[in-house]
This record gives sequence, structure tokens and C-alpha cells, in this order.
Amino acid sequence: MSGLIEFFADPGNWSGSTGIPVRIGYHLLYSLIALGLALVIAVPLGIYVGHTGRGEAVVAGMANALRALPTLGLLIVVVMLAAPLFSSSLVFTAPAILVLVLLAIPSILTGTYTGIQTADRSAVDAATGLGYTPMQVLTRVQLPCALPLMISGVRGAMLQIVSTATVAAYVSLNGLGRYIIDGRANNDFGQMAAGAALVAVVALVLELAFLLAGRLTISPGLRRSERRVKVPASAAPAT
Amino acid sequence: MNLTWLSSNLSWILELTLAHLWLTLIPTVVGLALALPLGWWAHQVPRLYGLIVGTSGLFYTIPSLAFFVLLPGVIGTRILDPINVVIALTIYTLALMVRVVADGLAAVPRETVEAAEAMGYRAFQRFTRVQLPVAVPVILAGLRVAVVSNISIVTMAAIIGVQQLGSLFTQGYSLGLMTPILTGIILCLLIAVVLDLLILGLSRTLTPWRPAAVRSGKGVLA
Amino acid sequence: MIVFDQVSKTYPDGTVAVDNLSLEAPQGEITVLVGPSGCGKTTSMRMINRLIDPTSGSITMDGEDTSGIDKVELRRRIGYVIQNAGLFPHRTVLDNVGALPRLLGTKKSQARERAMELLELVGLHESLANRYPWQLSGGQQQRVGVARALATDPPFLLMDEPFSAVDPIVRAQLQQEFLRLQERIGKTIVLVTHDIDEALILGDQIAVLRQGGHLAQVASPEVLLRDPADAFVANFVGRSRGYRSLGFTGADEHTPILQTASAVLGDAAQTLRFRPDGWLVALDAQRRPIGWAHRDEVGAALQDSAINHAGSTASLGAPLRDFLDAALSSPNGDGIVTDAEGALLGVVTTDDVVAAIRRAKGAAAAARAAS
Repeated sequence: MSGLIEFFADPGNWSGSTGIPVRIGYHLLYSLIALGLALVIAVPLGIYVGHTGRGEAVVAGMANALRALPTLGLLIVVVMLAAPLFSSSLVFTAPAILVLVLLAIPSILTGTYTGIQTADRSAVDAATGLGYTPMQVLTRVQLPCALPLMISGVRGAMLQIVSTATVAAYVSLNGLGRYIIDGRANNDFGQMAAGAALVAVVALVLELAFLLAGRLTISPGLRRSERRVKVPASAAPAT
Repeated sequence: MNLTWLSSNLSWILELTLAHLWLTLIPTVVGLALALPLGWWAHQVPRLYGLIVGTSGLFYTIPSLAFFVLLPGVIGTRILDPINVVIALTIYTLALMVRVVADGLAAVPRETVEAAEAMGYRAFQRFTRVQLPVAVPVILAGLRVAVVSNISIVTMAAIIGVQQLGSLFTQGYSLGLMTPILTGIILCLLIAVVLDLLILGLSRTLTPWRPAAVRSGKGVLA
Repeated sequence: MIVFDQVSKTYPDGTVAVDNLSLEAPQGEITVLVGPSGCGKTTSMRMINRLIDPTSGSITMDGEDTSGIDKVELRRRIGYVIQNAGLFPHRTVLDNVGALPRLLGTKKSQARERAMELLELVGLHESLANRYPWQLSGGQQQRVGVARALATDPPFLLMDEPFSAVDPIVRAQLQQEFLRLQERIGKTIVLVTHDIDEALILGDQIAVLRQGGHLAQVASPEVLLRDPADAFVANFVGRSRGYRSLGFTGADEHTPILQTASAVLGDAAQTLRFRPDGWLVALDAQRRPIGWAHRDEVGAALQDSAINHAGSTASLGAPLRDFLDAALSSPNGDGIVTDAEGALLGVVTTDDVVAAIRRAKGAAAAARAAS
């Protein structure tokens, strides 16, 4: 514990390219890039699956298989295979981010399509009968109703990304995980604990940010039913 | 596949596999054992549901690698002791299963519980003889998710030097060899499939009263 | 007017949902489609706004073939109310009602103003306007559903089991309110129900369908009860058809209303004048009948404990069914008759009610013979 306090008390750890602000910055930057890419892929796909019911079994199977696949092994395999394909500055970053995206997709996908599927069927029928176009039904009824499950899916994805980005320091990704890896290499337990504490704080802050975002964007009309709609197991938070 | 590496490291791989099994199974069993009474409590006292499920959710938020490193500072163990991994995974399992148990108990038909109450079952008897058996499918479905996740999470501990199948990944990376890494991944998946099927089989054995069509659900990994 | 012309719906697996249906839903009236489950009543209704497309035949609205109208355009001309209301869970009551006008470009303030009027029209207090659907009772949700369907003032209204999901007391109340509402708005309505009693209460015209989508009979409620087309319809309409058909004929002017002894609750015993059989009608302060009281039961004053509440009352101008019920339920064979305000007019004897029924039957038979 004393090593931990020492680490935070040292002004040298608060500046420069290995300082805490820079590392937090990188950690968040890579996480957000990965989340953004995952959203771009998973949300439209989830809308398609939820709307048509096609490919549901494939998606559920993929989500489960990815849960069993050890992330550390996956990271190392992808880096070893893909590193030769990238120019020097991206040699570790790009493959690591690829894995982050891959791991984030199932959670967002599942949240989106189950959200759309569990949107009140009679409300959808009523909207159609009243003359909403299929696009209007989607944007004005289904998506707002799917929002609680979607946000919960994105939250799970974000935590998975932040967690995996920490591990990815092992394959040289910049970020808070570096303190844990470098500390371990130098038997500097204070640095390790400091890195772990920072990662935990970042994860908790992001969790709170998502809770807040949910409060602001989910209609109060849907909030009561949040607890009754069981989040499917495959959308369970990842670690 | 590099067969020379494989054959010369066979006993080490077996050792790692056994260690991996223990590191996965102990937290899963202990976590479930703790989750049963806690989940029952959360179900009995609705005001506690939010508190218990919310708190356990917060533990789930902490990334596993950070959890392994932080635990020694909190409970005073040595930083590289495997016990940290066991405790962290127990907490993850508990966090997941408390909610599953509470929700599973809530899904038992109210009439069934009331019938038992009217027949004179005491609260504990109702729990062990009526509620729990009926909630078995839900609880074991949750346990399948927990055990499969645990197998993957355990591998992270290789980074801080705890020996198990994840050590094959770090070994392969430092040697630049694909064989150990692939061996590790395949063994992890194999353990996951076997444990998943075992729990599925247990669930079917414990619930002979369910319609066959319902019981023949696919494995988590299928 | 909505016209079905030889409309059929066959699914790819060969199931015939609707078989060669020809039917007219007259302007400004309520047409009820009723029948057991699997009779194709909902399918028939959903073909009107083309949620389902017919396999053959045509449906016209005011002479225009609906298959030539864009689906979305068509649906916006037709209000739609479904079981459980199907409200948008993420919108407030006010925004549910104003949703479609907003979609069509009405300004928010205008849409809300109109929504407020509609809430009042369907009998919802303005304090509910900012609630979310889950905060409403089933009956309130259903009223919001009706208000939403009327938001763009469409000439047609489709209603699919609109009152089935609420308890019997609320259902009866909603039905009566709906009839009063229809008197004001005069829409052309097609309503689907499985409940023949609801059909008899609401329908200007009732179409009875049987399994396989066959039309068994189209008729007014009165004709359906008096003259069912076949054994299926008779069976579906149910027991006590004769008694229920009395609900459509009033007592004629030859039915005598007799004076009777009466007293107001609280009157002292010595002021009471009983009928020869020992009974009198007990009244409240507004002279509305409470029930019958017998000489042997009354103590020092006319108390509520002495009153027999069994008898129902019939107001003058009510159908014969009410008169017969009042007479049959009375402890002494005489039914209490009130004026429109509910104040006591007199009594009618069982024999006189039966005579009135006989005269009404004779008149109906003569009318049929003449036509």
C-alpha cells in the first residue's frame, strides 16, 4: 500500500509521455475508437437482426463462443498474425484495437436486437395501423423502446473494451495497463497497484457516466419496466 | 503445429490444465454456495434486491487484471499468490449468481409457493424443497455462463505470473511460437465445452419433470 | 361506407381465413364483426387498412378501391384502436394522442391543444395528460387509445377487441361512453369482438362469422335475436334470446301505470298508508324508489332495515325487458315505474307487462306479414 501512495505522490508520474494523464488519455482514446467502430458495425446489424429475426441463432452462438475464447490468447494470436501487415507505428495498436472491436460487438449486437424484439408488439401494431411508415415505426417506436437494452449492451461493451485494453498493454498497447505490465517486470508493486487502481476508477467512472446517459435518454415511461425486462445472459457485463 | 515443442512440454501442459481447472472450479462452487443464501435474501426482502444486485454489479465493473492486482492491498495476501485469483473469481461468480438466484426464485409461480405455505411447509423447507428445485433450470443456466466466463478470465492471471493455461500464451508470445498459444486456446475451449455440458446434464437430471422439448436446450457454446 | 366485395384470404399453407366475404359497413354506423376464434373476424378487419392484403376480391372505401391507395396514406385516413390499447410506452398520454398529428407536421403546441380536447372528449381528466401509459389503469389506457385514433379526425375507425382487456364493470362503462361519443362524432366504425353481448350492445349492424371465414348472418341486433338465420347463429347468440329481444321494444301506451302507496324514509309509523297487501314503496328525499316495505317489518318509523331491495325499477319509455324484470323481481308481483329523473310514477302488474309483450309480438308479426 505504501508503494501505491508513493507512486501517486511522485510529481514525476503526473507529467511526460509515461505520466498518468497521458496514459489515461491513451486508454480512453483507444477505448473510444474501438467502441465507435463496434457501434458502427453492431447497431445496424442488430437493427437488421431484430427487425427481420434473421441470423439470430448465429449471433447468439457467436456471442457465446466469444465469451469462452480467452481474450489474452486471442490478443496475442491476432497481434502475431497481423503485426507484419501494418506499418511500424501501427504494428501493435491496430491489431489490438481490432480485438477490442471484435469483443465489443456481441454485447452491442445482442442489446440492440433483443431491445428491438422486445419492444411492445401492440405499440408497433398500433403505429403501423395508424399509418407510420416502416422507417417511422423503427425510429419513433422501436428504437426508443429498445434504448434501455441497447444502452445496457453498449455499457457491457465499454467495460469489456476498457478491461481488454488493460490486458493489451501486454502486447505493447499504450494506456493504463502499462503500469501493471511494467511494474510487474520491475517488481515495482506500487506502480502495479497504482495502475490497477486507475483502471478500476476509469471503469467505475465510465459505468456511472452510462448510468447518467441512461437517465437522460431513456423515457421515464420505460424506466419502470427496466427491471422486469431481463437482460439476456449473453449481454452480461464482461470482465 | 510444432509437435516437438508439444511432446517435450506434455507434462507441463497437463500441470497447467489441472491448475486451470482448480482455479476455475473452486471459485465457481464457492461463489454459487454464497449466492444461494444471498439471492434468497434479496428475493425475500425486495428493498434489499436493488442494494445487493447493485453492489455486486459494481464488482463486475472492475476489470479482472486490476482486481487481481488490487486484492492483495485490500486483504493482505502476497501479490503473486494464486489465492488472489480464486478470491477475485469467487466475487465475480457471486456477483453474477446473486442476481440469477434472486430472479430465478422470483420466477417460481406464486401459486406453487403459496400452496406449499398452505400445506404447512416452513420457510426453510419451502426454499429447499419447492423454490430451489423449481428454480434449478434458471440457476444452472446462469452457472453455465459463470463457469464459461471464469475459464477465460483465469488466463489473464498469467500476466502477473500465476501458472495455468494462460501461461501458454505468455510463453508462446515471448518465444514467438504459435503452438503453445493455440494449444492453450484449444484446451480452454475444450474445458469450457466439457463443463458446460456437465452442468447442462446436471440440470436435466435434476429436472425430470420438465417437458423433454424444453430440457433439450442447446449448450451455451452450441 | 366500407364495402367488402367477394373478399377471400388464403394463406400459403392453404388455410382459408376469410371465404368470399361480401359486406357493407354503412356510413356513420357501427358494424360489429363477431364470431368464435378462428372465424376470420380480425383478419377481415385488418384487410380494410391493409395490414393484411386480401388474396382475392376488393374492398372499397367511399367507392375507392383500397388496393389502389398507398398503404400508409390509406391507414392515415382510418383510425385504429386495438386490445390493450398499444400505447407508446415511452411517450406521455398527451404525446401519445398527439403523435400522429406531429408526424404529419402539425406544430407541437397545436397538436397538444388538440390532444387536450380529445382527452376531454373521451372523459379523461387533464391531470392525466403528463402521465406515462404504465401509470394508467386498463380502462384509462383504452380511452387514450380511442383519443389517439381520433387525433387526425379520420372518417373511419377500426376497433379490434377494444374493450376486452378490462374488467366487466369498466367494460360496461366504456361501452356506454363509447355509444355517447359515437352519437357526437358519427364515424363509420368496424369493430371486432368475440363477445356477442358486446356486439348486441354496440352494433347498429352485426355480422356473425363462423370458422373458416364464412359469413353466417348480417342483421340488426333485434333481428339477430328474433330471427337467427341458422342453428349456428342461434347457438352463438346464446340462451334467453326471447328475453333479450325484449330489449328492443318499448311498452305501448295501453300499458296501465297504477297509483301505489308510498312513503319517504324516516316517516313515522302512524302516518304510513299501506296497500291492501301490506306493502308500500319506500322513497328517498328526492322521491326516488329505494324498495318495498311491508307493514309487519316497519317499527316506529320507516327505516332502511325494513326495506326489501330485491325489486328492480323500469323508467317510463324503457324497453319491455326492464318492465318484465321489474315485475318479476318485485316481492309482490308489481314492478316499480319511474320517470326520466328516477322519481316514482307508479307500478305495473306482471299481467299487464305480459299483455304488452303479447301485443308487441302481434304487431311485429303483422309488420312482417305486410312487408
